[in-house]
Amino acid sequence: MIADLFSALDMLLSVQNLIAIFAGVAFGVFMGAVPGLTGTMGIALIIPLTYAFEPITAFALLLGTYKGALFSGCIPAILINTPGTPAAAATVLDGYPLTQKGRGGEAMGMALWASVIGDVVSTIALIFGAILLAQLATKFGPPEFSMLVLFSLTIVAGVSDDSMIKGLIAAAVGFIFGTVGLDPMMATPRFTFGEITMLNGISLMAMLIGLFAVSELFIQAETSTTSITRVVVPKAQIGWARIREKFPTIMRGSVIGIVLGSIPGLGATPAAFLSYSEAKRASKTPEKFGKGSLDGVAAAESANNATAGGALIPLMALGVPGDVVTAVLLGAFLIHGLAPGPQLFAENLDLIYAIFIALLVAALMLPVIGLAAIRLFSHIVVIPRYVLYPIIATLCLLGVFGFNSNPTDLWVMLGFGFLGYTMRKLAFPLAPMMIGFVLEPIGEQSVRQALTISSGSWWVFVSTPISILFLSLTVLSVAFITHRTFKDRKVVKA
Amino acid sequence: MAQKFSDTISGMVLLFFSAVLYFYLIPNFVGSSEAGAMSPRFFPRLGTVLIGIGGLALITISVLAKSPKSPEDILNTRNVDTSKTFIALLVAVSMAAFILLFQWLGYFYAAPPVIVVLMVLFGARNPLVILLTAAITTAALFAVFNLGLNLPLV
Repeated sequence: MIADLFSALDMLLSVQNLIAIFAGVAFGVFMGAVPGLTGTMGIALIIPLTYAFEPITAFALLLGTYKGALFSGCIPAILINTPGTPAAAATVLDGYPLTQKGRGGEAMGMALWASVIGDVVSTIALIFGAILLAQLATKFGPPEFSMLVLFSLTIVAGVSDDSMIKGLIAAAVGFIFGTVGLDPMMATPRFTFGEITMLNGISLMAMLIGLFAVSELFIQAETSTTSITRVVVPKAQIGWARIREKFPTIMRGSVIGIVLGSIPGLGATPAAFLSYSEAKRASKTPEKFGKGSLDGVAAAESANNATAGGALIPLMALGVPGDVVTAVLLGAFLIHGLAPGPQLFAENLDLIYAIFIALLVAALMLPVIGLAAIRLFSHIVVIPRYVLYPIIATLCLLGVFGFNSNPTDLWVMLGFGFLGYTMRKLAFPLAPMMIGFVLEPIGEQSVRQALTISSGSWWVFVSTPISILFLSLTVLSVAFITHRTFKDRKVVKA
Repeated sequence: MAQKFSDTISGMVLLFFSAVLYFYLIPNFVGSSEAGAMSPRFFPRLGTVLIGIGGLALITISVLAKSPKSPEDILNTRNVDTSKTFIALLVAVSMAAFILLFQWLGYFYAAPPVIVVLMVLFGARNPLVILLTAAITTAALFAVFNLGLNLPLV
């Protein structure tokens, strides 16, 4: 273990990797700070630029982007009452009233340090949580993996926005796309239509960029606004005494963020709102919440950022994405020829440690880049969309072409862009399709291997305690989601 | 177009798509030598059945859903906005034009005109800004991908 740790340090500590982390955080902060751009889109856009890199450099850049975007959604939330990311919606509640009272600098300072603390705490939780979970996962065989994939599919319900049915349909369509190419056991072509380029299946890169970046371009093209907001940005400043005073709120928020982040399908937005309501419940002055309370900002931001470490626990240890961003990150791992999960821990422990250290370094770089971003926000927000989106469109096209130098991938990307756009128009969520696509090959291979071992007997899936555990978790998860859906429907009707 | 109506249409399209998959595409474009779960057709069929059930459920739910009665309900009903779909389609056509020009003539003939068109579609009106941005973007992305990442673009 110590040898792996030193090997990881040796792998990570190069100027190139530190620049990658810095650039990733800065790019993520930019993507999160501009309303309309998202961290998911940022990661999807940046993946093509990483093929030429070593895996650790690539993940330093990608995870830096993830962390930067999670934080910076609070900047427009506090300054212009517009959350840069959905999770920053809880920060608006108290952040903007503080700005109206002339205390925007204090709110920004609190948001920054609460984010940094939440981030560091969750990274530490990730390190211990993922290692323990991965050790347990080394006992997994094909039946356990099959049940794990079945359990992972319940994530679909969590990322299905308003309609679970539409989420399940999207996942099933993604599942069908996942079967394109050579059959994993017998190498029989499926839906290749005689095209040699289709034998390897649909390009994950083309699908990812098409669904998340190109569809967003089409949606943005419909927004006619060209007005530019001028903002007066206060200097982010807060004393250590204030941070110490809010430390219990920040720690509570961090724990909520880690727990909710690690449960597949929940993510940053519910974590931020739960942390906010818990802070209000625990406060001696709950009446100040919603009118400009620093506790509100600290609670929302610490939980929001702590979800990053939590969501990465199932991804790293089991290869299960917990939300949209980690589904895209799973795609990035696969594109680099790495499959997250116990095998990665067994074969590339030094890379895993290097990624963990990179996450800590990214958290420590956040204050520096965050402070600069707050100061530069007035410039960031005035970049005209007619400059931004054509650049993004060209970046999408070159990025997808660059992956395989295959023009067919460009048409596939455009097709998925249009499909994603249509789905969004019809209120179908995109993330389940991505999850279905990524999990299909893993699930199919595990199920068929398990059935080969058992000579076709389905009892193999309930033959070990771990597979029974995952099956029970799946049943419980479905029951919980169904109960929650009916409860929410009753609340809406009332 | 009201959400309820669009859900019914989506359900019908999905049901039709699953029927085409099950009865035409899978038998003709997925080879099979085994039966049951070991067949290469098993998982595509499983996905197809799920799409079909989902489509049917969507139709049922949207047909059974109550139509909004009060003006407040009507305001709260989400509609599918198709008024500006034309602009989104033009962006898609521009990107398709990029792909064709890129395949036939190369990057330097594809990128500048398409960036100009996209800038206009996204609201740019100043010719100088448009031309400068197109030139700088073309050169900068060429530098990143061709010189930086060694990707042949021409």
